[in-house]
This record gives sequence, C-alpha cells and structure tokens, in this order.
Amino acid sequence: MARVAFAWELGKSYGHAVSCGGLARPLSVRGHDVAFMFRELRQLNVLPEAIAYDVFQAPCSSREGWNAQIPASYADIMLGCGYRDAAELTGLVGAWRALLGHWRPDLLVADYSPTALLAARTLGIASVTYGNGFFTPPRLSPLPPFRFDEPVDPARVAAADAQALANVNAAAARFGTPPFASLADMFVTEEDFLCTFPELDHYGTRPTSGYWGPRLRLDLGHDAPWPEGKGPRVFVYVQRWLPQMDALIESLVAGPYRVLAYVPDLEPARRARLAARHRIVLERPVRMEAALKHCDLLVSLGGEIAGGALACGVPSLLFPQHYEQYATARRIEHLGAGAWLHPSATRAQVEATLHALTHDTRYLAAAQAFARRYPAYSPAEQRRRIVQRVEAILSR
Amino acid sequence: MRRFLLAWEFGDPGRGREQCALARGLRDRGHSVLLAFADLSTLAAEPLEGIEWVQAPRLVLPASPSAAPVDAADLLLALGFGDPPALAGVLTGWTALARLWRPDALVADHAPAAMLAARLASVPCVLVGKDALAAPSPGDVAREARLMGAVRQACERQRDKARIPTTARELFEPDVRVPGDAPDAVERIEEAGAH
Repeated sequence: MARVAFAWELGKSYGHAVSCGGLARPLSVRGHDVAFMFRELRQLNVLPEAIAYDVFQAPCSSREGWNAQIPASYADIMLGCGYRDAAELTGLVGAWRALLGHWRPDLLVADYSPTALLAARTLGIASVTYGNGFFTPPRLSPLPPFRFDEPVDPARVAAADAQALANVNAAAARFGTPPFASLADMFVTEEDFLCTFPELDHYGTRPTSGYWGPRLRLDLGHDAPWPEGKGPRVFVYVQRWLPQMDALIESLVAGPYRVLAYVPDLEPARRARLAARHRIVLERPVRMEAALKHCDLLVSLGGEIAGGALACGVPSLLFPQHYEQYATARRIEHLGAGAWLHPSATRAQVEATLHALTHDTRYLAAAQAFARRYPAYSPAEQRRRIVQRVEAILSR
Repeated sequence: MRRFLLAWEFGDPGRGREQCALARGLRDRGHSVLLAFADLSTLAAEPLEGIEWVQAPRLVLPASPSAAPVDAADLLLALGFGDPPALAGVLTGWTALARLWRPDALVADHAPAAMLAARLASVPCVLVGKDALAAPSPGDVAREARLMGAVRQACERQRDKARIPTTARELFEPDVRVPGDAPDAVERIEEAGAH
C-alpha cells in the first residue's frame, strides 16, 4: 500500500478540506496511508475521520497579500503569497521539503498548492493536481490571465510570470534543482484532476484537458427533509458575514419560500428572524444529496457547490465574494442557469432576483439542460474514477 | 545524539532569531534540530546548514481579541485558545509533528500550544525566553474556567492525550525552564533532552 499526502496551501473556507477529505477516505479505506498538509486546521472539525491521518500545518507566507495588487493571473497570486521574494520563497519551499521529506509520500495530491508542487519536484516525489479550474492554471507561458471582465495588459502578465519564475529558480537552486524554463513547467504533474466542467472553467479555454466534474460531498451532513407546503424550495448555504445577509433573510421571510438554510455560526437573533415552520435553519451541515434532489434554487457564494448543483439541474442565486466565485457566477449567468448579485445589492434587488429565479422557468430549463449534458456525472462516480487513476499512477 | 523540536508561535521575531542561535548550538554538539516557526520569511538568511524547518501550526486569533491582555489566561484567549475547534486543529498539527520528528525534547519560546501538545504527546518541554507565559500571575477565575473548558474540549479531540491539564497553571509549566540567553543554555537544553 502507498502513502498519499494531500496539500492545501492557498484559498480559504471549508471547500478544500472537505474535498480532500472526500478523496482521502476511499484511499484510506483501500489501505493507503494518508497525510493532510493543510493551510487551516480548524476545518478538521468537520472531518472526524482525519483523526486516523497525520495532519500537518501547511507552510504559509506570513505576509500574504501585503502590497499585492488585484491579481489578474496565477503568477500574480503567487507573488502575493511569498513568490515576490526569493528568500521568503526559499523558507516556504524548505518547510514543504522537510514535511514531505520526512513523511515520504509516494504521491502528492496538490489542491491549490504551488509551493508543495515545487518542493515535491525538488525531491522527485510524484504529484497530481486536484481542484477546480481556478486552482490549476493552464500550462501556457506566461501563465495566462484569468480576468475576463476588464482588459489585462500582456506586459503585466509577462512581468509577473518572469518575476515569479526568477524567484522559483533561485529557491530551486538553493536545493540543488535545475532551473525551470517557464513558470508553467513547475506545474507539470502526473495528472491534473481538473474538477469542473469545461463550461465553468475559470480560464474559459485551455489546451486539451480532461475534466473530471466538480468535487461535491453529497454524503456529509445529516438528513433534513424539506418543509411541507407549496412554495419554491430554496436551499441556502452562505456565510454569516455575507454583506447581504440581512437582506437575504428579509427577502426569504417576505416570500412564499420553503427554506433549508445552513449558515455556520449564524447569530441567534438572525436565526430567530429566519426560522419558521416552513423555513428550517440548520445547526449542522445538511446532507446535500437529499437537499438538492428536490431543490428549486440554491443560494450560495459560488464555488464548487454551484457547479454541483448545476449538474443536478438546480439553478443558482450567487453572492460571489472573490474573483474565483465571481468567475463561476458569471459563467453560470452566461449559461442562463442563474444570477448573481454584487456586494452592494439592495434588499429590493435580492427580493426581485429570488422571485425571478424561482418563477421564470427559463432558469430551471437551462439548469436541467446543463444536467442532461453530463448524465454520467455523479460525485461518487467522479471520486471512483479519480481513485482508480491515482492507484494506476501509484502502481507504476 | 538527540533530537530537538524548537517552537516559536507568536510575537517578536527576535524570539525566532534566538531559537536559531540555540539550534546552531545544539547542531554543533551533534544533535538533530527541527525548527517550527510562525514566520519562515527570514530563515533563508540565517546560517542553518544541517537544520530543517517547518511551519508552526497557525493560531486562529479571535475576531475581537483582547487588545491588552490582563493576565496569562487572557493572553491565551487572545491567541485563540477559547475556540475549541481551532485549538484542536493546532494541537493536532503539533502532535503530528511530534510523531513525525520524535523529539527528545520540545524547546518552546512564545509557543503555548506547542507546550500543551508536548504534554499530550509525552514529550519533555523546555521553556526558554522571558515572556509573560513563563510566570503567570493569578488570574480571573471565570476567565480561567472559560479557558480550561475550551482547552479540555480541544484536548479530548486528540489522538495523543497523555496529560490533559486540569488547571490553567499547568498550561504554563514546562518540565525545565532555561533562560535563552543563559551562557549554558545549550548544555541545559541538551541535558533536558537526555531524560
């Protein structure tokens, strides 16, 4: 049996941890040893099975985001996360090398983890990427911009790429690794588990790639039946710090909706305002399998849950909070299967958009048409195929 | 030859530099040293041949921490010890590191979660430095009760739980105290690792 290390280096919230957990579990059940090297360890509270794994803190830049401009490319993100300074990057690579060198994985599964990939390369450890389109850049030189809502100066993209590459090569030299010809070379792996659909790829198009479908954990959480009644069924999964949280609550209360809402750590006063016989505010994550099955609308920030809902034929109302979510929201909007609202949206806009999405049947038709394109997709089947591919790589 | 894990979790970067000096001293006497630091940005500039480093598990600070902690328990709450899931994650990271590196002793400076994890993993702990955590004053009873409630919850979630503290005072009690700037600090740490 083999040793598989999961790295999560960049990005926030629960999605990365839960997705890694979803793939780790079948690998562990099949006898492989698992380690998590995670950016945030608080998220282990939703992965009780992780007590059986070795769980380490992923190296992180202590100056993340300092003096960083709004990123337009993956190289920009790297520059804001330690790649602007060769010495700092060397510190990060050294820390990854120590973890990987001592734990000795046969395979690194890298979820939005460029420095883990770099360290694995310096140690000769096989690696794969595992994440949606945003987390896995196309292998182009320079790494292309992901912004599509405004022009991006090609010279800026090239300069960021060159700066990151120079510092990568300085760090690589410190550990006796030959220089990379391009920044894209750093991302060469055994496989890209590109966990999205081509229509939702943040980069729009990229050289020929395999798409594995979104990572969705339908099996986590507890069952919560939909409230009885006739109103549209709205499944809400957002964070309490959402700028329109109050507007969303008031809009749901004012409408005829049946609601299942999971908002982690929602304040008691807001919970009391939202909860009613036909609006269930959940204390714990709900098992999405049942929730999505009879759902008329998903309300979320975006991310992989929106892609997963789309694959189930469910339209979305999205409140994107950063560019990755914004890109997903825009692509779902282009598909006609949802709408998104700006952080400055008013209560009237929230109310009107909720009404439109649950009454204009074109949204539902577009979502169902999308789902029909991928009849073979299911989160369980996606994981089964990835596990199969991982074991094929491990058996080489 | 013994193995030492040197931990620094928060505060003045000078703590990290002092730990680097101790690491070199231990290395020069033939021991293996792993640094676990909150900030890795300056390590590449330090002369650390033969010494490896990792990221210290990151404390999750509360949204509104106490601006000026009034006692040691208050300081730990300001460092995130009042959030059981967050503290549990940090302790999991430290105990996993202890299993990986198998240190004969933890050398802690501004590293309260590492000290707590060392208790859970039965690793002897040497406290260096001169920080507030080295000599806690009697504190507010209600605050300490809140702290210890969270600490107990976090400890119960660990795989290793050899010595779960029952009083706040135990959080600050190392097996050995060594002023980091003592002329014989390296020798005293070395000796602590022999027991």
